[in-house]
Parts: sequence; C-alpha cells; structure tokens
Amino acid sequence: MIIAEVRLLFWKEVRQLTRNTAAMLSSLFMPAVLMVLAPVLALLAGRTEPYRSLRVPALSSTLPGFDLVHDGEGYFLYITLPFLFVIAALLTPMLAGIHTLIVERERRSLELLMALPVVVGDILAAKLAAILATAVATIVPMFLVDAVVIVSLTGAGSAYVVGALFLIVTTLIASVSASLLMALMARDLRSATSLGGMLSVPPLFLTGLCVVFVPGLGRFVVLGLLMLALGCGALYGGLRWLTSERYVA
Amino acid sequence: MAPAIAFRSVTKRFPNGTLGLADATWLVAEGAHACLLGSSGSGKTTAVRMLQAALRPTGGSVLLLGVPVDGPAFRQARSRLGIVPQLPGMYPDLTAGEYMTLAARLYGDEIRPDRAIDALDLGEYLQTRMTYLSPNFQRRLALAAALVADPDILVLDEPTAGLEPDDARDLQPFLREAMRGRTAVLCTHREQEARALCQEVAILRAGRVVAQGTWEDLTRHIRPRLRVAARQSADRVLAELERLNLHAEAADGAVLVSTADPQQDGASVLRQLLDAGVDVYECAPVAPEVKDIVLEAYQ
Repeated sequence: MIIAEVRLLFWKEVRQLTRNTAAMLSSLFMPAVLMVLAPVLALLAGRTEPYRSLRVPALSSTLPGFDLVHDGEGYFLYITLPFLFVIAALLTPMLAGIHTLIVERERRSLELLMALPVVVGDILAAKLAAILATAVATIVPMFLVDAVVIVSLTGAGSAYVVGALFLIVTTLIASVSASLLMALMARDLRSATSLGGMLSVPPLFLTGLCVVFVPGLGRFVVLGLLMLALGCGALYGGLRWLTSERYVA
Repeated sequence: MAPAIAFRSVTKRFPNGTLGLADATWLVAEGAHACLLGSSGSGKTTAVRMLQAALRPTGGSVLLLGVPVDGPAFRQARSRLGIVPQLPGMYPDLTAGEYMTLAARLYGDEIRPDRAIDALDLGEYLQTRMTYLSPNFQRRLALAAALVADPDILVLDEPTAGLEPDDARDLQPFLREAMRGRTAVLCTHREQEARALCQEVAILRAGRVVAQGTWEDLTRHIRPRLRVAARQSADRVLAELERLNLHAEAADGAVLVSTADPQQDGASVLRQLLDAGVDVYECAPVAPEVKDIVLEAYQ
C-alpha cells in the first residue's frame, strides 16, 4: 500500500519534470557540457601533439594518484574526467531537486499534495526517487557517449568505464540525499541555491583527495564508496535530526 | 463512542521556539459540524497539520477516529478523512482531470472521481491546466479532491480565504452540501461563515483553546449590551454614561452599554440620557455576536 502511494506520486513527479521545459533544459544543458562536450574534447585534445608529449612535473609524479599519468591523455583520463563526472552528477539532481522540492513548497502546491491521503514521507520518497530516476536517465546515456570515445580512442579499457560509471551512480545518490538536506534546511529558493553550493563542497573536496592520493582505477572505487557514505550520512542526518516536519512546518 | 477527532492536552513547540498549540484539548463528536475559530497564527493550521500526521505533537495526543495519528493504523483512518487546504497553490503542469485522477487513485483503485467532479460542476474543466482555473474553481477542485472517496470526516481549512466576496458566497452552497451527512471541521477566522456552517465552536488564541461549545452555550455567558446612538459624539455619550456609573464602550459611531438586562434597563438609561440633554435617536438591546464571543474569550 505504501509502495502504491509512493509509486503514484513518483509518476506524477516524473510527468511534471518532463513537462517543464525550463527545468528540463536547465537540467540537461550543464550535464551535456560537463558529461559529453568537455570530456570528448579533452580526450580528442589528448591525442594531439602538444598534449601527447606532455610531461608530468617531478613533484606530481611522486603522488600516488599520478601513477598512470604519463602524458596529456592520462592527465585528462585520471585527473580531469573524474572531476567533470562528479560535478555533473552533483549538479543534475540538485537542479531537479530545487524545482521538485523547493518550488513545490514555494508555490504552495505542496498544500494540495498533503491534502491527499499520503504522509510527508511518501511525498519526499516519491520526489527523491523521481529526481534520481530523471538524473540517471539524463546522465547515464551521456556517459555512454564518453564510454564509446574512451574505449575506442584511449587505452583505458572497459575497467575504466565500469569504475567511472560506479562513481557517477554513487555521486548521483549522494546528490539526491543532499537535495533532501537542501529541502529540509532551506526556507526559500535563494537559500536553497546557496545551500546547494555549500553541500557540493565536501564531495568536491573528497574528489580532489582521491584523485591525488588514490592510485589507478582504485580512485573510482574509493571515491564511489565515499560518495555512498556521504549520501547515507545526509539521508540519516536529514531524517533523524532535521525530520520531515521541517519540509512542511 | 470515540470522538471523530480528539486533541488531548496537545502542545506543539516548533524548533525555533514558536508555540503552535498550547495544552489544547478539543473533541469533535461523530457527525458534528464544528468550527475552529481564530485569527491568523492562532494554531488552526497547526491542528490540521497534526491531523495529517505532518507535525507530531510535542506533548499530548491527537486521535483521528480513535486512532493515534503517529500510530500504525493511521493510514487506514487517514483514508476516511478529506481535507481542503488553506490557499492551495495550483500545478501549472497538471490538468484538473489529472489531479482528480491522482486523488482518486491515492484513495484506492476502486475509487472513481466522476461523482465528486459532477457534484462540484467541474466536468467541463477537466482538460484545463490547474493554474488556468479561476480562484473559485480552484477551490472547488480542492473540495472535489477532498470528497472523492466520500470521506467520513471533512476538514476545511479557511476554504474561502483569499476569495472575492462574490466567489466566497458562491462557494458556500457547495461547502454546505459537502458537510452534509458527515463530521465536518471548519477552520476559519470569518465569523459569519463559522456561524452559518457550524453548530459547535472552539475558539483558539495563541495556540490555546480559550472557549468551546455550541453557539448557544457561548453566547449565554456573554454580557448583554444596549446599543445607544446619539446626535452628539460617542465621547459625550460615554461621559454621560460614566456619570451614571454604567460601563460602556464606543463601537461603530455608537456606544455599547453593559447592563444586566438591556430590555429592562433600556427605558431608564434612555430617560436619563435625554434628561442630560443627549439627543438619543437609537437605544436598543443587541444580540451577542460571534465577535463578542471571541473578544470575551480573549479577555
């Protein structure tokens, strides 16, 4: 019964997200740049002469994260792309979250939803599931373009693709959890936007640490697990200490 | 028989320290038409939020059809409750028909929205996006969604707030019809509306239930008044009444005089004022109004 209510609300959210042209464009444009345009251009640039002969500075070569960075292509694959993937996977759910969670409350249509025989937990669960689903449906196909380019143009291979996909999916989960925190803590659209920026700092900081200090493909696994931990922490903290009451109070 | 709605010593303190409800006890019997009357911020919507289980009480208990709102059986009881929210916003990307279908399916697969749509004359607006409906029809849509499963209890949270007087008047027959045959709770600050639609009232002030009962119960305890209007200013009339040791206050250009029995005392007060040179053109007992009840309760 609970699942049926969340399912009905979920499809309502998906329908609304896909009907909202402005929300769709804003949540597609930035990921398209970060997930497709920038990585493909970077990988293509890595095959050109100036980058092919790029040499890693001596200091950097002593850092574990630079073990596979021998030229421009390696630099883009193991340093630049993880950052781009994380930023895109963080931004997409947050933009959708602002629309789905915050705008709903600001325009008072949340009142209409709460008048129906559901509890706040159902509403939040449906919204978060819809945000995750639309983010996965947006980001993963874009990543498949990268995957084709990576496998066909670089020597990274399918292990790199699987590792990067794991990182993207876990970052999406962390970002959806951050959207929940944003919804519970922010009072309006402006504070939600500021909060979204602040909540992006820990994942980006961890990305920097992993990229520099975790060697090889292990960076994707370690960073992905850290993203999962951040996501679970945000979810638990939000529901345990902030409580869903804050969304409606 | 358990009351349909029971607030027992309910206190709600928000994280920022604001007191939403303060030791509020309020019972609504099955089949009753009760009103929660209070100004903005008095705690009416907090009470509705608790019935939705969206807010948990800090102290005391809230029961819906005998079931605690924070208990496992709440969902079953909630499906027998219809709520019309206060000033609901509309979805720009859903039609009225889609919203009604969603409401019906949330109440159960076997529920069809047709009856509620017909009752509220919404048939020709089903393909209209919700934001394009007029305020009157937006409110009717919210009412139709609340009635879609023929609930045992109907809660109306300021159903006419924000409407033009004509629209509010047009909505009244629909509200009256919606309340018929079921327990109904009207949360409002509009006195006339409360009196027109409900037999019982609980008056909320700053989260406290300061008075409750039937209108007759409450008006019985209100001091009767004598309304006196004169050609001179109200201040002059007040001065004369003070000289006669009568308690009075100015109201709408006239003066309201508190006496034990206005019909008995009216002639004497009139005579004394005329003797004092006050040109009285109106001197009549006035029936206690809801406003008086509220003011009395606030004192």
